Amino acid sequence: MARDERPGDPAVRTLVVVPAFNEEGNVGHLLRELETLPLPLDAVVVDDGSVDGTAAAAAAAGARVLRLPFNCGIGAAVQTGLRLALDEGYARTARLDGDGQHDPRALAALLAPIDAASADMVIGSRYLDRQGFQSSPARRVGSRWFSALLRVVCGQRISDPTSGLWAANARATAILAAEYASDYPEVDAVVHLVRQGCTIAEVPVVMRARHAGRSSIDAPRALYYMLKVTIALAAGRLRRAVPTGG
Amino acid sequence: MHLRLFQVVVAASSLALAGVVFELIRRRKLKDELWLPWLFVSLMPLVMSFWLEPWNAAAHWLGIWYEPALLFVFGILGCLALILYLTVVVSTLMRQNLRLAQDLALLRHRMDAAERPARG
Repeated sequence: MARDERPGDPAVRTLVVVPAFNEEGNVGHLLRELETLPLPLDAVVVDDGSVDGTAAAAAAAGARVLRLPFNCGIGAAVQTGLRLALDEGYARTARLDGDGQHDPRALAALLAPIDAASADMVIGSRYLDRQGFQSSPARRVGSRWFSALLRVVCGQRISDPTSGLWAANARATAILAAEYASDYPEVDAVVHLVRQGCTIAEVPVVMRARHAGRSSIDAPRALYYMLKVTIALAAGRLRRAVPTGG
Repeated sequence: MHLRLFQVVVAASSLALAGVVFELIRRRKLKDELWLPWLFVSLMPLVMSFWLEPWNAAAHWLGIWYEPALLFVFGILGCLALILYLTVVVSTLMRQNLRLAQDLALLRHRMDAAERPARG
């Protein structure tokens, strides 16, 4: 039976997945911003084993909350939200981090190429227009390195491959719901989607500094991030592509 | 057959380790796919201590003139293989654990949603 297209029907709506770990001070503000957007959106906050009041703050702001029983890592948290979107038949998904660095107003630009069927996944890049918060120097070095690697591996130029601000259609959502790295998943996800024949696009976005709290990626972690993802990319290149998801 | 002291010590140690492994199997403390490598490892020294000639010949063929050194080489390689195997097992468990955590979060969400209208 075909779905009717009434408001609230997941077949025409976007599920915004907000992974959050100890973001009590940020998540409510972000959800209130989301509510003001004139887009058919539903938000789900995936509380990744927070020890503060993240889940309560999200519920108080009217979002649905998925509570992981312990800290599983950003990738596992995002994947949980994607699995919910897949189960409920959402047409599109988007990811916004719970730390408030991603401006929800960018969602319209991210969703436009998906609605126009010109891309399966659209990444918000802070480096296309070079406006707003440009992240730490260590992370910028990592981004350049991954950008060069992706050019070799996928033959595609992605200016901001570590960006966690993206939107995906149902096909890409199904692929990522089936396989998504549990930590530092962004670059791996791009490679995985390209190998499954998906089209990736980028749009310029303006990122913000955190509203409250501290970033988890410092210089040693950035180095570990680069090493881990580079080896994972090399291993992924040698792995046979098995069709998954959509 | 003349037994040398080291053969008696190695055989006794090997049998003792095999006995411990067997007891762990009997108490179901070792999972079935994990106990076989341990039983093999525990009985290997027993076989080797009574079967010295091929061992010595293999050591000389490899250019090792102090024969027990070959035992250390195999021992270290065996330990590394076992650690690698255990890391694979732990990785599988971690992946399954994450999947279960996700399932728990999704089911708890569905349960809360189902209970909400009932509570009014």
